[in-house]
Amino acid sequence: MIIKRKRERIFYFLLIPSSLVVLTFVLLLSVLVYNSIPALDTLGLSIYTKNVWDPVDNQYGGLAAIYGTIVTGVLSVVISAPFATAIAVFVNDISPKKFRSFLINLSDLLAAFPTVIYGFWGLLSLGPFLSHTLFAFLDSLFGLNRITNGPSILLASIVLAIMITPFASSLLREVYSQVPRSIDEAVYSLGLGKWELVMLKLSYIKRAFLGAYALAFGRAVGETVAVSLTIGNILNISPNLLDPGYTIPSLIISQFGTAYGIQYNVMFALALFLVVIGVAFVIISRLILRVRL
Amino acid sequence: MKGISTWAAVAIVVIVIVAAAGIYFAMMSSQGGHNATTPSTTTTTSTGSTTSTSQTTAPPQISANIVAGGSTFVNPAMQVWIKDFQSKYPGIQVTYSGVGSGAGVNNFLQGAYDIGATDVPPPTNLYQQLTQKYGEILTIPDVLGAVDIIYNIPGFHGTLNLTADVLAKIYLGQIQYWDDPAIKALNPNFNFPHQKIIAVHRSDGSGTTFIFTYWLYISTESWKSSNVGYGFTVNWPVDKLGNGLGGKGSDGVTAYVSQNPYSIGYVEAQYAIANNLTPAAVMNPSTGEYVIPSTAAIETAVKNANLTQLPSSLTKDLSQYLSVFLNVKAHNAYPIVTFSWLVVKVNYNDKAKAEAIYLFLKYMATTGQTELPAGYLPLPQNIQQLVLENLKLISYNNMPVYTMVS
Repeated sequence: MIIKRKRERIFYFLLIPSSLVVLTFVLLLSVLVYNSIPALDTLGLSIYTKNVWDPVDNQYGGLAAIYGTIVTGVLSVVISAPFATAIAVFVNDISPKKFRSFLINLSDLLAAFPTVIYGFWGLLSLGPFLSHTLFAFLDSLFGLNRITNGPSILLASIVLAIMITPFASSLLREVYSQVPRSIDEAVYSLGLGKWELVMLKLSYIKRAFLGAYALAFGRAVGETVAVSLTIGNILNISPNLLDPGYTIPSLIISQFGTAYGIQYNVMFALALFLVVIGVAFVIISRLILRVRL
Repeated sequence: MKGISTWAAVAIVVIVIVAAAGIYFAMMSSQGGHNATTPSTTTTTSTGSTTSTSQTTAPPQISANIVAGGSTFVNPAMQVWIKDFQSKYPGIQVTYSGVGSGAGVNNFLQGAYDIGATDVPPPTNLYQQLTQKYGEILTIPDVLGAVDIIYNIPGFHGTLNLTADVLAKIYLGQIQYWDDPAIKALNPNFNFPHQKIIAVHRSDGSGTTFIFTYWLYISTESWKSSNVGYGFTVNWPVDKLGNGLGGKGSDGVTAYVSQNPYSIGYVEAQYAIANNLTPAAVMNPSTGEYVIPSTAAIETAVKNANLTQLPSSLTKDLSQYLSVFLNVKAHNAYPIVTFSWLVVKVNYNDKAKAEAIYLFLKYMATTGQTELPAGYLPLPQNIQQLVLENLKLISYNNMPVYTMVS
C-alpha cells in the first residue's frame, strides 16, 4: 500500500511541469495585455479600425494588416484543405506500400523546411511564374488589375497554403489511418467501392479537420518571414487579391526594431488581436462543425 | 523508490529555478536594466610590443566589453574594424549586430548597447529622451554614405534622369505611369510604355528612408505640402493606391525592384555599388545638373559642404544639421549624401569601459578609415579632426579619459 502511494506521489510530482504550459500562456497573454494598455488608452480602438501607419504624427491603425491577416489565413486554409485531404487519402488507401513511406517522408521533410526558404522561393520563382500564368488568367477573366510581378495577397496565401499542407496532412493522415479496419471490411462486404469507403472514412474524421486546421491556421496567421517576402508589405485594403497588402506578423517584424514610445505598445495591441483572430477561428470552425453534424 | 522521488523533487526544483531565473532576466532586460559589465575572460599578458615601433608605450591592458549594434549599412565595415581593433587591444571585446538603425538607437536608449549605430542622428524627440537618461551624448559620424535610386524598366538603356519633384510625386502617387509628361520631359530619348510605376520603399524603419524623405521634404514643394513629413517610416501615400511595395532591408527593396518590371526604389549607395546596381542620375537642385552617384560625385559633395554650419560640439542635437550635406552646391556633387553615425554616452562610471570606448572610437576615426571594405568612402580629413576633438569629452566620473590612455 505504502509503495503504491509513493508511486502516486511521484506521478503527481511529475505532472507539475505540465502546468508550465498553462503558466506560459497566462504569462504571455498578460505581457500582451499589459503592454497593449498604453496604446489602447491613447489611441483607443482606432488601432483596429483605422488604416494608417504614421510614426511621424504618431498615428497608428492596423486595419490593413488585420484585413490581410484574416484574408491570407482563411484563403490559405481553403486552398490547402483539398490538397491535405487528398494526400491523407492517397497515402492511406490508394498508394502502393513502398511509395507510401516515400511520400510520408517527403511531406514531413517539406513541413520541416525553414519558412524563409518558402518565402524566397515564393518571391523569386513562384511569384513570377504565377504572375504569368494564374494571375494573368484571373486578370483576363475578372479584370483584376495586376500591377506587380507576383507580390500580392493571393501569392502570400498560396505560399502559406503550400507551407501548411504537409503540416495539416500529416495530422489528417494519422487520424485517417486510425479509422477501424472493420469499416473497410463492412463497406467492401456491401459491395460498395473505394469512393464510398473514402467518403465514409472522411466523415469519421471530421473533427480531426478542426484540430489539424486550428493548428495550421495558427501557423498561417502567425507566419512572418515567408509572408513578408511575398505580400508586398503595404497598408492597402483592397478586395483585389492581386494587390499587395500586409499582415499583422509581417507588420510587426518590419516595424518592431524601430518602434519606441506608443508605436511599441501598438505592436503588442496588434499581437493581442492575433490571439483574438486565432480564438475566433477555433470558435467559428467549431460552430460550423456543430451545424453540419 | 525513495531514490526516485528524491530525484523527481530535485528535477522539479531545478526546473522551477531555471524558469524563475529566466523570467527574472527577461523582466530585467525588458525594463532596460543596464547589462552588468562582465570582465572579459581573455587575459592579456604583457609581452611588450615587438613589431610596433611607433608606439612608445606598451598596449594598455584594458579589459572591457563593448556591445554595439544598429545600422546594417556600417555592419561590413564594423566587422573589419572590430577584427583589426581587437588584434591591437586583445583585452577589449567588441561585438556588433546589424539590427537596423532604429533598433540600434532604441537598444542604446534601453541600455542594451554601449554604442548605437544609426544612419541618421537621433531625431529631436529621441535625442531629448537620450540626454534625459544619460546626460550628455555624442553623435559621431563614422562612414560616408549616399542614397541611390534604382529602377527596373525593361528595354531601357542608358541613364534615367530624375528630379526630386518627380520622385516626390511618384511616392505621393501623383505620377502613376511611366509615360507621364514629367518623366518624358527629363528623358526625351526613350519611349516610355503606359505602365504603372511600382514605388518600392523600405517596410522596416530605416535611416535610408529618413534621409530620402528628408531630402524630398527640403527639396520639393509637393512633398512639403503633402503632410507626409520625414522619418524612419512614413505613411506612404502611394501604398493606399496599391502601387507600392515594401521591402525589408536594402536587400528586400533590391529584390522587389529586380523582380518587378516597371518599379523604382531607393537603397544605400554602398549596397548599390557592392551589388552592381545601375542607379539613376538625380538632379542636384542647387546646380541643375544630373549627377550619377559615383564615388567621385559623393566625395565632391562632402568636400564642398559648408562645414561651418555644423556645430563644433557633437553633443548637440545633430538631427538639426542634416541638410548640410544635401544638395551641396558644387559641380558634379551628388545631392543625397549623408553620414552614418554612432551614438555614445559621454560620461561613464566604469573606467575600463570609458577607456575602451574612447580607444575604439579613436581607432574608428583614424586607422579605421584606411581599413574600409570596398564600396565605403572614408571620412574627409576635417570631419576626422572634428571627431577626434569631440572624443576628448569621453570621461570616467567626469574626468576625461584621453589623458589616461596613450
